[in-house]
Amino acid sequence: MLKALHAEFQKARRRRDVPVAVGVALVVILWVGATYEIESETDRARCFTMLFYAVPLLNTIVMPLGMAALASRLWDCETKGESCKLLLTLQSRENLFAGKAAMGLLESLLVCLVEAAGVLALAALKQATEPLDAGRFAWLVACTFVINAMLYFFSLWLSMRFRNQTAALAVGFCGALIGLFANFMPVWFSYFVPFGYYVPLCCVRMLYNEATRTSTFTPEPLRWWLLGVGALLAVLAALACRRTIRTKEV
Amino acid sequence: MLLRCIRAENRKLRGSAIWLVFFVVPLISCLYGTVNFLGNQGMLSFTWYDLWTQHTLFYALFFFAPMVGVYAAYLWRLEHLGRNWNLIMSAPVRPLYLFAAKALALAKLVAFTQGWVFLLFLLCGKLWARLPGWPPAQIFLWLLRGVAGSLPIVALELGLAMAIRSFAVPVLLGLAGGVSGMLIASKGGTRAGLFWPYSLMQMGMNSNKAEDVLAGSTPVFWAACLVWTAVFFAAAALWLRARDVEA
Repeated sequence: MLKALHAEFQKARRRRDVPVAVGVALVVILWVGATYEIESETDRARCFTMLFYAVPLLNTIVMPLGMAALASRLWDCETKGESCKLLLTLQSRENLFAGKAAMGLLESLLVCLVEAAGVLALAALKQATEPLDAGRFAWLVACTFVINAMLYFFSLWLSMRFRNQTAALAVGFCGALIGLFANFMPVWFSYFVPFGYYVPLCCVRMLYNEATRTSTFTPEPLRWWLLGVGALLAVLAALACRRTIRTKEV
Repeated sequence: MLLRCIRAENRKLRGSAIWLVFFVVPLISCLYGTVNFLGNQGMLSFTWYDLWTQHTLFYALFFFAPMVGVYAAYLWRLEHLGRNWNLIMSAPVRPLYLFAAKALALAKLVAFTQGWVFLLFLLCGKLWARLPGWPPAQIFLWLLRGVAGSLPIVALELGLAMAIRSFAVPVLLGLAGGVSGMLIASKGGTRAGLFWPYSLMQMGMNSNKAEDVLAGSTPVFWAACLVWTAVFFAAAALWLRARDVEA
């Protein structure tokens, strides 16, 4: 298992996976920074609350494609290098899966950590006066990690099933489109669209007043059960990947 | 020789998975757009203009550029597999012809996609929303401007997919480009948008404003499309000249 993970690390270094993973998180952070202008005292006093709302919303657009890209690169290098035959015969398939899964989870964790650091950096840059609610911050990171992992394993499964990576990438960005739309529908609808789980798992809700053109942010109860559903789907997708690797024809 | 290259590229597209993307992305966008249009009649007016904004907003802002990225990466995939790169470098065809043929195939695909978007817009407007009359001719002009504005993205994404062997990275860069295009056009205004290739298609489609964002700057827009496309073609030609077979 450790040897398989070491091999994955070496491949990731050659593929330059770290800049890609960091880039995915930076797109979200830079976008949030450019879109949400926090200039007044009122905004500074609710800076973290605004960020806790904005980051999951933009994650819905960026992460399905970002995770599809990371997963696709992880398997595509084997397809392009015609190395599947060797990998599936010279080492245990369980180890191969474990190496790929661990690598994917580490990359997903890296995305979450960079994003979390970006949230703190943005708050410092915008001179936030609101104290950081550590519990809600941890919730944001945990939810992002779980949903990223779910999308990662689903995309990895598609990458393994179809030799052409169009499937994984196209499903990724169609998923982003559907996830985004689901978030503008009634909340029960968004429960049926796992690609967009970032927003129903968000710990803040925004209410927009059309007459005064102002937004207010209110705390939202944490939906533990939905996080559980996300984790369950991640496990199911991981099991599907494992099964695909175990039964793959040489 | 160029014609043969174009024929080869067209053959690659026949029966490929790329057509699923072509059908599905505008379809999702139009379904959501019409539902949103009908559900928000308190804020929107019951006109073809408002239906257009709802149909094309997210499609043009965030999803068009990655979609072109998928198309471009697909067209270059075969060349990046195995030793095929050496094959095309040593084939009796000017490498730029190959790039031009792919660009034409991609531009055709994009034009078809825009046509599909317009057809869905018409069908949803007439049969679903039951809007009175027909869409104003101006919307058709916006659609054509969208095609023109997409040409720099086509050339740029094709160049990226040629230079980067990974299938996924050009698609991700397309998403980042789409976001940057939206931010530059919205923060810097029309003038700034004209200097950024990813903003041109969004501004051409006029997908987030009822009034024409390019009013008074249409000739500059067409010139910007032409210049950016030429710049990316020239960059691709230089890159191909510097590249060689890989032993």
